[in-house]
Amino acid sequence: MMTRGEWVEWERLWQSDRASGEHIEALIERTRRARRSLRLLRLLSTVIAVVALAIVAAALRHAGNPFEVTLGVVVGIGIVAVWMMDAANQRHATANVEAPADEYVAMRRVLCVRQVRFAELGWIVTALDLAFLIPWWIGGFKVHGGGFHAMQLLTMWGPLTLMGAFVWWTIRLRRRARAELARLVRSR
Amino acid sequence: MSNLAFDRIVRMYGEALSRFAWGYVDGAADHDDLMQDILVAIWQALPRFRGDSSERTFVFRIAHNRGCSFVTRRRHDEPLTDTTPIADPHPGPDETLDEAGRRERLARAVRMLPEAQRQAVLLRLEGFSLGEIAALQATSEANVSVRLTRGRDRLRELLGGSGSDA
Repeated sequence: MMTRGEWVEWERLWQSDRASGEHIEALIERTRRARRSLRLLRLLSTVIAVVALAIVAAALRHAGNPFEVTLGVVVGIGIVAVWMMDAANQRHATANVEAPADEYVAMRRVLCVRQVRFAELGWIVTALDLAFLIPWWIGGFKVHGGGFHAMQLLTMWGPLTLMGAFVWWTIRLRRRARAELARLVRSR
Repeated sequence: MSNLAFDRIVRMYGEALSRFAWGYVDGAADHDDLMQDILVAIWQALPRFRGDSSERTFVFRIAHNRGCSFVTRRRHDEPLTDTTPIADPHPGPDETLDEAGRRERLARAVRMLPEAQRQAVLLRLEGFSLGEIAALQATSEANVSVRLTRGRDRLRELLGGSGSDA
């Protein structure tokens, strides 16, 4: 049997926590900033994909044989696939959030699996990208010389930094996704 | 979606959502992060709201789902170690049981409930009816009643007395 008085007392105590009007307005403003950051992140992921494709396109112009051309095309397709998978995962992450808890948990499990696959695909494409670009960089050293001049920064150190950052981010993403998946499976 | 609709929802439910979030996290920084997470999720989901359920049900379902996700992710980020203190809802010898203190003890006890019971209890504390909780949890009223009874018994146990001592 429910003890009504007990609930009424707990309810009164719980609801005595009142947020001020300023606090609510601050929440609205904070959410606006978060929404802008989300849009910026999406734009950034597109810019990074475009830059990666531009570097591959530039290297393709110097491809010496059909194997290098094929590898370059495969890497280009891989970059587009990784970018599309990331966009799909972002859409998936916001889907079904209003569903009953069981459905939502099922969706989170699927998302975690997709994030693990995304990270692994990203590593494969990065490895292929390196295999394709390293001969081009070596050729570039011979023509333009080594060091840190603008051309080197733009075509080698910049892409290398981007690749390093991407791999570091995907390692973290994969680790979190696997941990969340394990917890979700345990809690079934 | 219209910013006006979102702002209206936050003004209407922001206070209740803020309390609701305390059912999942216990620090001010985590509370702020979770509130932002919930509100962004509401903003993203609002264009899909077709009125199949009430707006309140829609909003609190999102809050519960994001609350659970937040806790799952945060547990991984900050694993419990042998030295991590576990919040005890029983009052310490020096704890003054003013209203804020009693409310904090109640929140701590609610956080220790299993997920489905916690959601039912939090919604009950926010004044939802059995029917509304059942609709929100996609289950029967009888099942909700069982969850609430078990939740109440556990709360009593955790709080070490009757509700009025909470």
